[in-house]
Order: sequence, then C-alpha cells, then structure tokens
Amino acid sequence: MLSTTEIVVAVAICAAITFACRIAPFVLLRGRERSPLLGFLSNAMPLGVMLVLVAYTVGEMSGSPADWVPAVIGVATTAGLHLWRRSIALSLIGGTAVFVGASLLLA
Amino acid sequence: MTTTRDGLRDAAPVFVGYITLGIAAGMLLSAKGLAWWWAPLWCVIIYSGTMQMFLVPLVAAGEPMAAIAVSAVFVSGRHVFYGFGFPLDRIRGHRFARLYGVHAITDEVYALLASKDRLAMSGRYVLTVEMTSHSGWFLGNIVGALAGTGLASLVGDRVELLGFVLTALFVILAIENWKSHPDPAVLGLGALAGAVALTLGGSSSLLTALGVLAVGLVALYQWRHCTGRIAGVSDADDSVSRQLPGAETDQTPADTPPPAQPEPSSTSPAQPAPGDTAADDRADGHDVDDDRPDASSQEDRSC
Repeated sequence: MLSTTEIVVAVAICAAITFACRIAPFVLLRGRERSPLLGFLSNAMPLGVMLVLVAYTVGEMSGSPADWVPAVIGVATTAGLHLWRRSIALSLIGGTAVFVGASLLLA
Repeated sequence: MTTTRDGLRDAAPVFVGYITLGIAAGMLLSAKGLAWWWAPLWCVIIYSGTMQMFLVPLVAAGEPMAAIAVSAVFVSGRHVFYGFGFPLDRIRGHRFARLYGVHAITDEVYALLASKDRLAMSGRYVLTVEMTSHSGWFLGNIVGALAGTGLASLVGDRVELLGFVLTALFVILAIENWKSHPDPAVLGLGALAGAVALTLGGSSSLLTALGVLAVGLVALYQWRHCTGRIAGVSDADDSVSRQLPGAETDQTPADTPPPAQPEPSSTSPAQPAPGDTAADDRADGHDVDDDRPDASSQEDRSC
C-alpha cells in the first residue's frame, strides 16, 4: 500500500493524464473544422464507438464463455425491445431485468 | 433539448447506471483497504470509472509512479477519440464551464450526447446531463465506500449484475445512432472493432479496439473519396456548419442545409439493399480491413 502522500501524487498523475486525453482532441482539432474527413468521422464514430463499448462491457463482465449466454440474451432483448417500441426506459429496464434473471437462473 | 428538465430526463438512465457502478467501485476501494474518503475525492478529481477502479489495485500493490502513469495513458487514451462528435461548442460563456464540460466527458455521456442533434442542444442541457451523471457516480461511490465490505458480503457479487444497465444503454444508443446515420460499412467496422475488444480483453483492449475503429474509418473515407463514393459529403457539410466554434448565433435546425444528394444506392456497394445487410457488412468489414495497411500512406498523398 502506498502512503497517503504517494497516493496524492498517484491521483494527481492519473487526473492530469486523464484530463489531457480529454482535452487533446479539442486543442488539436482547433481550426480544422472544415475538414470533410472530420465531418465524416464525427458522424460515423458514435455508432462504431457504441458497438465497441457494448463488446467491451460484455467482455468485462463475462469471465467464462458460460457467462456469455445471459449477456447475449440481455443484449438481444434490449435491441429487440428498442426496435419494437423505441422507448429507452422500456428497453433499458426490460433488457437488464432479463439479463439479471438469466444470470441468476444459469448461475 | 434545451432545458434543465430535458437534461435530467435524458441523463436518468446514466444516473441509475452510475449509482450502481459507483457502489461497486466504492466497495472495491474500501475492500482493498483504502480510506473511504478517497472515493469522493477521486470522483471529483479523476472522474473516470475505469481509471478509478484500475487505480485501486495499483495503489494497494504499491506500484511505482511510472507504472501508474503508463496505465493511466492506456486506460484514458480512448478519450482522445471522443472529441469527434462531442458538442462542446454548445457550451458558451465562462471558461470554467467549458473546462468542466471537457472534464465530465465519459463513455456514457459521450454516447448519450453524440447520438443527438447538436443544433437542438443548449449548453445548459449539455451541462445538466454531465452534472447529473457526475453526481450519480459521486453518490454511488460514497455509498459503496461507506458500506464497504458489509454491503459486499450482504449482496455479494450480484450487485455487479446491475452494471448491465450500461451495456443495455450502449445497445440502445447504437440503435439510435444507426437510425440517424445508417451506414452498413460503419456498422461492419464497429462490429470488427468490437470483436477485437472481446478477443483481447483486459485494460488495453478498449484503446486498441478504438484505434482499429479509427484507422478503419479513415481508410473507409479514403476509399470512398478515391473511388468517388463520398457518402459523407452532405453529412460533412452539415456538421461543418455545426462545428464552427465562432458561430455564436443561435442556429436552429432550419438553418442547416437539407440532407440532399442521397446516395445512388443501386450502384454503391457501401449502401446495399436492406435485405442483405449482414452479408455486406462482413464483406465491407474485410474489405476495409484489407485496405488498412494502405491507409497511412493514402493519407499523405491524394489519390
């Protein structure tokens, strides 16, 4: 365990690096707003990032392949509900409830 | 999407998800022997779920500062990609408001705001979404850290199951983004990058997967540009007008050019008929994947 002073330094380092990463794109892109490539990226990135985050969060949660079954069921339920009714609350609660239920049943 | 009320409503799912995730993060922190008050402090100063949860074992193991700094770069590097499409230009006025606007960009906040129409958003709305999400994370962490090991033994690992709220949120936002910018090639690239994240696992997988996605999208743009299929032209012009930082006038959606010039979908392989989406996604994904080594050289010279 690090000492309190060392933790303060560690937190300062992490905070500084994280904030630098957050502000970097805005500083670097200043004055290049007319680039059609950036226009394309700002429209295309969100969909791609969402898919990556879905995969990442599922991967974080699931250790063994057996854990994937509830995750796949939960994702399918969420997507199905959302394509059906397009209500965020319904899709969110329904998908999570099905995932928790499936996880408890299969555990 | 202009009032505080709209922001509170839209951020509610993130708030709930962050309470849950924050409890888990707070419990982790105190279970590893750190004083509970570190949790709220980290929430204010660092405010990054992955970073905070990753820092706990590093601190507990007494890792050297260099190792902690390198980990921070790997874990937080993904934020570089969130500059694309984040509506920071909607926050006007005080410098500190904009700095907070940058500080409070998280995976979920980016996901939520990037799926919406920039022009319809006010700065008040963006900040409300950010502060609501931040407070959920803050409160969850305090509860988790104070309850500590007692709560952990009571609920067990099962509380983590509720973290699926965030996965579900990403699924929903993927669908919403698809509806606003349906592009099968981007869908294919996203699926490919997601597969990379799943295959690699671990703390660097997110950064790597986002890197694959960014390189793939640049290659896709270059390929369309060189073959005359610039699907993004009308969209790009649209977003240029949105991104002008000096445009202080309050634009309304009516001011933007209509999304004219639809793609000649019959001739473009990037815009297949709805029926064969899945097959073409895969084909497009591999296609662009194969082109990737050329992407960097293509950037330097025009076709």
